[in-house]
Amino acid sequence: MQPHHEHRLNLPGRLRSLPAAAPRPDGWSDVQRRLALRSEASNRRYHAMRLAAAASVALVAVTAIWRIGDVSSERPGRAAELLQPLTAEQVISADRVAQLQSQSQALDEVLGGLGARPVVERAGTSLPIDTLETQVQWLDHQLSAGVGELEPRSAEQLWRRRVEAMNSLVQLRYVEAQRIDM
Amino acid sequence: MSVFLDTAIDPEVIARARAGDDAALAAIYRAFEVPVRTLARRLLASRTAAEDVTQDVFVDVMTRLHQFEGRGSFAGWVRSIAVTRCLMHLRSPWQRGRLWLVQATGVDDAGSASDGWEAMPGHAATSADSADAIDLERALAQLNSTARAVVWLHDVEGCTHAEIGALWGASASFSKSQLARAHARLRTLLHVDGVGTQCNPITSIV
Repeated sequence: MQPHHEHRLNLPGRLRSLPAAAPRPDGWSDVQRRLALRSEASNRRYHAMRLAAAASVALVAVTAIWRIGDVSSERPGRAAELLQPLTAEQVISADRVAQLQSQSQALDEVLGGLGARPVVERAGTSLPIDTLETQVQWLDHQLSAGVGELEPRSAEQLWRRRVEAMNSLVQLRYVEAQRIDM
Repeated sequence: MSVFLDTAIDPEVIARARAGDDAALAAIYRAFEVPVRTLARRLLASRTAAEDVTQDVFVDVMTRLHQFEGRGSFAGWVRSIAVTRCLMHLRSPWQRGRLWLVQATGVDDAGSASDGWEAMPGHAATSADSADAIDLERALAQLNSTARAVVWLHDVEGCTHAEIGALWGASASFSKSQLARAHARLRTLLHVDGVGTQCNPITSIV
């Protein structure tokens, strides 16, 4: 058998003699850049976890306040309260509005802590977030347009809806931040 | 002999790299860049993907240095990370979808593994040798990704059938049958047995 033909038959030998890839002059700087990015991402994840813990505490507190508000509104004397003159109801309603305003403010702070929305978004969370943001904007417009003119009951309704929307928004934004970090 | 296992690195350098010494990290990169890039280019169909995976392998190596316990060779450890990264890429749904599209349309904008191959400078080759190499690279590129990986890991990297089978979660027989079929296909494509019409060897026209 001719040596060349013998060589052609030896596939592993031929594969091993194939040329190796040439090194890239900028390869190491690319790796360093990726290492820096990964380190940044891991720092972000750490901060996001701390923020998530804070957000959870805040959410628990807001929910607790909310529940207490609900329980107090369902206490046995509620029917009697409802039958009281309008001025008394207004007072109670104003009280609830103040409570809802503080809950809303706490949620605003939590949302602010989550930072700007990521550049890359997930379709699953992006659309509901947009919808909720629009809803909050609309409610803010209604609340600011009707300052001093809103009925206490309408104001309470609007503030309650704002707290609900903000609550959902914070939860979705948190989920989104977690997924992007993964 | 495997290019990987030919690569030796001073344990002192590894220790310094673990402590975060930039010069030691760069030394590890320089020592393993060629073996990792070669493996990625041979196993992956896309040149761009191979570059991307090469960078990812080194990020993994640098961030997981503390996990290297020194039981086996460092080169073997780096190779296992590189092989895992390449297989992860091949198995990704996105990549499988892309391969399906390439097969269906015959258009690959990412560049094939044999396309634009920049060989190591100083790789001495006669014209017959280089024509032979081009034939072989073309034939290798026509194998499916699993067959190509099995051939390369067995014939060049010197992995055992059991080791290769384990990478696919299968037995040694899986690797043996893949290798036998891949060799037969390569021989057909290269006209080694004097049969086959699918690939015109460049050696027959130079």
